[in-house]
Amino acid sequence: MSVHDAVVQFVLIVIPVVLLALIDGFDFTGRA
Amino acid sequence: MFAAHFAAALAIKDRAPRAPAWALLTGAFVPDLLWIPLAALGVEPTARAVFFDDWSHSLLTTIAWATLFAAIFWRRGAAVAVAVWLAVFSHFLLDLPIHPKPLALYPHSAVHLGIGLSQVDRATYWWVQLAVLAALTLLYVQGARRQQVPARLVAASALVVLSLHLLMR
Repeated sequence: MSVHDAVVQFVLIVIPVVLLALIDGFDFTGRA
Repeated sequence: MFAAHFAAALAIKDRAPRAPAWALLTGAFVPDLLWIPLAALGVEPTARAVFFDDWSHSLLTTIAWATLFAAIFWRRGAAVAVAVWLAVFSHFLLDLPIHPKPLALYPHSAVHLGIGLSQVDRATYWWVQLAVLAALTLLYVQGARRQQVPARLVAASALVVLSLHLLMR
């Protein structure tokens, strides 16, 4: 895997993680 | 599997509301987040003929990664640590039926696990993923309703996960 492919793969994971965490209320401490 | 990993993390979140969403979502991708640099370095080659991802994805190493990642959250309580552990281990369970190569018991093990679906065609794989994704999203929605998460947030999360799957077509 090239470095470019690695970066793409990483971004494909990180962007949804950030997006879903934001939707959840940027919940860094837990909801309860 | 791709989008289903996110759905699994969300489903776990609703059953462990004290666990941070970012930790569960990241945890669900720990094997892939390890695989990316290992593949880029050539430790885990990605060419079909020599595909190898035992260090990032085998059963025993996934248990180890799950335990190490969950340990980071131990101070938040056992329930949170267990939820994070499950999020990481869910990656193995979801990859088990279909993966480029059957998952190994441990690195370089002759024993491989799976149910023989590794060679299905791309279209079938996409539909299988959709079915798994739908089941996990239903679990998430049920749990979110019990937790009284606002409906618009549940819908937004479900839409993001489904969109990710559609983008992977």
